[in-house]
Amino acid sequence: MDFFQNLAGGFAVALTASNLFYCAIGAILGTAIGVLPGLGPPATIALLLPVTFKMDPVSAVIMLSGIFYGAMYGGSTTSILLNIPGEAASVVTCLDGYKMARNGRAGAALGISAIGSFIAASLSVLGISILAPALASFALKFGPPEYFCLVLLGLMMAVYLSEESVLKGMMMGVLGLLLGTIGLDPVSGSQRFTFGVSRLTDGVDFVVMVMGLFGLAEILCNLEAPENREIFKTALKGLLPTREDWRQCWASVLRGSTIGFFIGVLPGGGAIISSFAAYAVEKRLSKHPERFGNGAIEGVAAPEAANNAASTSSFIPLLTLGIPGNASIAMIFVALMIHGIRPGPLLLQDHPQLFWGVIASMYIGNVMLLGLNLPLVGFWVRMLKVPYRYLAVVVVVVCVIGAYSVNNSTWDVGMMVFFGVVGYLLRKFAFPASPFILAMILGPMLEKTLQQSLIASGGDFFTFINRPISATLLVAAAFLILTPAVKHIWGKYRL
Amino acid sequence: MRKPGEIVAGLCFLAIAIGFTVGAVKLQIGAPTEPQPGFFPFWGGVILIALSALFLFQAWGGRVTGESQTFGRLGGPVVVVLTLILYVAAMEKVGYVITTALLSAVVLKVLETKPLSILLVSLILPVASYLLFDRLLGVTLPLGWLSAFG
Repeated sequence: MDFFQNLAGGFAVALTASNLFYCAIGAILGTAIGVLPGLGPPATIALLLPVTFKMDPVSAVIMLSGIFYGAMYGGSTTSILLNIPGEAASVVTCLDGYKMARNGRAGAALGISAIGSFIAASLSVLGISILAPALASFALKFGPPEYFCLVLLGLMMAVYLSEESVLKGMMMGVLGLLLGTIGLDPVSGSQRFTFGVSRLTDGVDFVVMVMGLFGLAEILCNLEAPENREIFKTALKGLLPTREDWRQCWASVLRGSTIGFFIGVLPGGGAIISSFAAYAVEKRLSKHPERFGNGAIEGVAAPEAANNAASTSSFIPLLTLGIPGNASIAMIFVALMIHGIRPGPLLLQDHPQLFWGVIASMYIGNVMLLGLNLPLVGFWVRMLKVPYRYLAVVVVVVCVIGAYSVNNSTWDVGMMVFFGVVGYLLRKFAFPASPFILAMILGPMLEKTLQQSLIASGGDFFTFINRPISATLLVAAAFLILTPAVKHIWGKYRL
Repeated sequence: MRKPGEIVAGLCFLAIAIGFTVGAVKLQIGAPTEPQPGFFPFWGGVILIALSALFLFQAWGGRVTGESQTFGRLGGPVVVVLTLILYVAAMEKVGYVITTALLSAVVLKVLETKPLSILLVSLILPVASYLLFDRLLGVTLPLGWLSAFG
């Protein structure tokens, strides 16, 4: 009964005129950046953070969340029509989506993608509504040792599941932890690594860094070779899947939703991995795996369902444990902190209107996105005809304004350019940015809980092993670190 | 195959790690019973030294996993980064509109845009973005040389 009352309260918050407006803005912007290759959700959320400073925190989070999950809807459009994923999570959709378009079935591919996404996201929101309160109340039992091990496990997950090598992921994670120490020591308050620069007292500005690493870096990479995009010309008819299409892929949508939901809950999991996992599962289960890669509708339905379910469920660790699982969610974490709201198990207790308002807005946002993506698909296709050079220059200008607006200072623009160059080089050498971002965000929490645990236990490191929850989390983290090494040694001596 | 770029990347990580470790020692490390401000960065630095050494070992043997991309035409990124550095230096004094017009022109030129389009976009984008962000959204952008008209 409480659940329905809370959800009704959430709808009362989400259905106010201003929150509906911000939800719609988030959904439209999310779809746009999902459609347009070049600017992903983390950079867009970072760019819009300064705009949210004066907004009501609930409205701010509703809008920023809409951008994140809206991008998953839009990302499939470019995959299907251009063979270029608008979003990394839609890479796998290219395989069969583009083939379907080539076979004259672009409308069906776009249709099943939008409807499958809607079903998956709706199921995932239902999952959050039920699971999040239970997890939040469980997390209230956590002390510093449990939190330390949980953050460590989250970082290990981000490293382990990063698409590049585990070693590079670990290097980026530790680098993020070290850069996170710049500024004031969280316990003693003394300055560290500021080199007398007063602007570094508050640490490296996270918003500016993300704009550089994700926004400018992407543009610099694309400046190397001006691209010629060619939109596949086809009549967009028959957007609603046929009965035969449904017969073929309803189970794929449900499987994709389930896989996406559970992978999304894992810190470091998220939309990209879930879409690949769902595609692999479908191909393995299919009686005709040879159809995959040649325009199988299940190859579009499952990954699109998975990436939408995952993007929605990745709010669970943020809202219940205060642990952001990916770079976009990390930006929403920053938005909450800017508004003086600490995400974590007490969020539900202290700010129920925010917790349930955001969840209710996801139900509404997904209905809006279905409306935006099916009837308006022609509009998004036309938007793709805008040459990349104009998009690139707008992104550069918006990055500059976004960085400047944080403190009205050109120092931040300079830092944004610096991190843009760093991000460009990291991409070139295939160092993943996500573990770095998460480590920077979670570093202060990791350090604080480590110091609290050690001081409380008189410097006894066994405090992490003596407590059952922290011991379990630590074993899981150790398993993730050791698995690649064990695999390597096993493979070496077996061969 | 051994790639010099990866060895340079590994050396950069190693240098950063050593820098943090030395800096942490100066901050004082303390003991587990009483950790000092340098405690966490010291151990972070030590771990990064170990990881960087392992990476360099792999890079030297050409066994680094995670495929590096090749560099394409570097002229474009270099020109835009240099323009951005000048932009940062000049923005407060010259003003947002004029510097952004020049920045936009350079980015468009690098992306092989026709001269008329460069001219139009470089005129419209800075003014439109100034009006949107400064006048509508309340972001204060410097007018510089144009402040007399502001």
